Amino acid sequence: MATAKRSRHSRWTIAGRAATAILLGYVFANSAGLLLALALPVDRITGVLTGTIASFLLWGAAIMWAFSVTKTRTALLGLSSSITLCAGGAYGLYLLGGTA
Amino acid sequence: MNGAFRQSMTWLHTWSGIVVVWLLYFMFVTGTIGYFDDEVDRWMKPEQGPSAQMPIEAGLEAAQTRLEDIAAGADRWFIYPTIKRSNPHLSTFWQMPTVEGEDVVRGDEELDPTTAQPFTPAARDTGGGQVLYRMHYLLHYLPGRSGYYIMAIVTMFMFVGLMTGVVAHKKIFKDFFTFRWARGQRSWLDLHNLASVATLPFQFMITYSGLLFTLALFWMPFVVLGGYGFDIKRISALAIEFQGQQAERSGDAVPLVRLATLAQQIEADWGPNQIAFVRVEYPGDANARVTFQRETTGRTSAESVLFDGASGERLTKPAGGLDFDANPAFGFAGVMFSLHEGQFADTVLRWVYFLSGLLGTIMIGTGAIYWVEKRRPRRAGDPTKWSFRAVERANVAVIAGLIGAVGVYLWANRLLPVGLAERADWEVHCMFLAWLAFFAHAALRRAPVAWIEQCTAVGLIFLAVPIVNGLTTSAHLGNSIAAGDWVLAGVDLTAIATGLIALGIAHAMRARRSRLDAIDVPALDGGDAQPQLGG
Repeated sequence: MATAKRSRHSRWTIAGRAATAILLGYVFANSAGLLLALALPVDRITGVLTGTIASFLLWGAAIMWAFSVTKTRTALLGLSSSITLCAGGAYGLYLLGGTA
Repeated sequence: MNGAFRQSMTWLHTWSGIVVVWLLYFMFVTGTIGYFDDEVDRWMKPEQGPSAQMPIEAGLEAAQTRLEDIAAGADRWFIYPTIKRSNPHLSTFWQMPTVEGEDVVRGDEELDPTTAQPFTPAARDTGGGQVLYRMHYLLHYLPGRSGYYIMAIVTMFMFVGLMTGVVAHKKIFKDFFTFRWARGQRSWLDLHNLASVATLPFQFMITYSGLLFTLALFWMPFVVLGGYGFDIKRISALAIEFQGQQAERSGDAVPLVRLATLAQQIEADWGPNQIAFVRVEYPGDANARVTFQRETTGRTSAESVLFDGASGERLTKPAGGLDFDANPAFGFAGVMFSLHEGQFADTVLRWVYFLSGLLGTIMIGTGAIYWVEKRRPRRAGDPTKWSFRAVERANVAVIAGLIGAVGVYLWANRLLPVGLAERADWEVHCMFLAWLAFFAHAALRRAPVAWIEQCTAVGLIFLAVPIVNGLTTSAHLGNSIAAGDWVLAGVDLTAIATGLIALGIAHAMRARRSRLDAIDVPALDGGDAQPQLGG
């Protein structure tokens, strides 16, 4: 199966997909974890730790998803927009919450 | 689950696994041995007798007397009484005040409680089981924290490998009950599945908690920074939020209260043998603080009691500190850490940990072998790429050779001269030199032959461990079994078991090879591309 994939995709495609999955997945895990940290109805330190604990799961899920779609562009767009949403949401909550 | 999704996950599983598989294997071998780090420590210090229980008051009095002699004016002392498996002897640690521009002076000792002096003769200089245990997250020979970072990334690959592995094997539980013996490639996959499914919860626990261990260092900076509005000052102050306001050195000398007296109060509350360690901040200062930490029972955040070190008065906890026990997130992380380390595990559970780690090791090893077997050229005359041969041979040296190198590490502990300078370092050098020799051997031999020869070598090395031990020390099986010293005997007996298993594997490989030769299928005998190694 891997051989079949290899013949269909160039090294660059795979490198591009891996970079998208790992790097954007990492930024996504950070921003979604941050959103969680600010959105959870708990004190800040608990929220931050919960967000961090969950972020590894989110990173793994993001990597899996990014490899499951047919086009790297889909992965790129999907992750970028999720990052924007999470980071935007977190910033909104930060503004609403006043001092962190 | 549709087919395309599973296919892409199978692909991801294969590649996330194979990219880091040798480091993962190294991590699992050394980490699994790490569950018996203290037992290996004990074996590697044959001069020391078995753990001797002693009254806590006597131990603390001895340790305090010694520390007042050699580490007066320290910033902190730690005293570990002999209640724990990991602390067979009364031991101390101290750290002197930091002087600008100089290395911090610190030290540690194991004490004979009757003399309040270090043991004589001193134990040989050895890294013990701790060195192997530390390798599983730090590697070795790497500067600073680089090994830690590498292993953290490897752990993330492992986590992705686990998640995708569950998806990749759609009939995971059906596969669990399928084992096709001696079918070459297929058998390796079955064994890989068997080892994975049998210990899947353990593998998830150990990997996820492994990731959490890296939290403090570097993983998800934006969650922490952003959680506090990117306010660095606020984040620097977090330590106080965690621990509460700490006492500071006053500069006025007041003798430290006798710790043994405080211990009596503690034992009246907690019962006997509950004190994991005693921490003293600024001993001999008017603002000295003494903390008694209770033995953990499955949580990292165990109970502690604070005293004023000058007056001996019991204090309430520092104001503003976080109540770790009551906090659900810290509770979860704490449970994960403590599950990972298994410090609470008694003998039976410790063996369960060890065997789970072993199955994890088998899962990783068979995964690497399966990867090679699957890519083996099918027909005679198919060219084998140099890269295929390199991976195939490196597999031998990593999977079999590393085990042999660990055996050589045990040999080195017994055979290196006791007075050798930097002896502990040389034990480790011997281990890695031996591993290098296994690599050289694998490079020179065809892979199927290398497998058989290296497994045989591993078997002989481990079978000889008790013999080398018996020839060089009195801590041999004859004495240890007679004395019922099962910690000491356990290491020798495990070495024998390891040796027998390795020889068994070598024998099975040899038998399969001669069977294939007897069938004489030319199509399968493609020079270097010798076919599947069974069982």
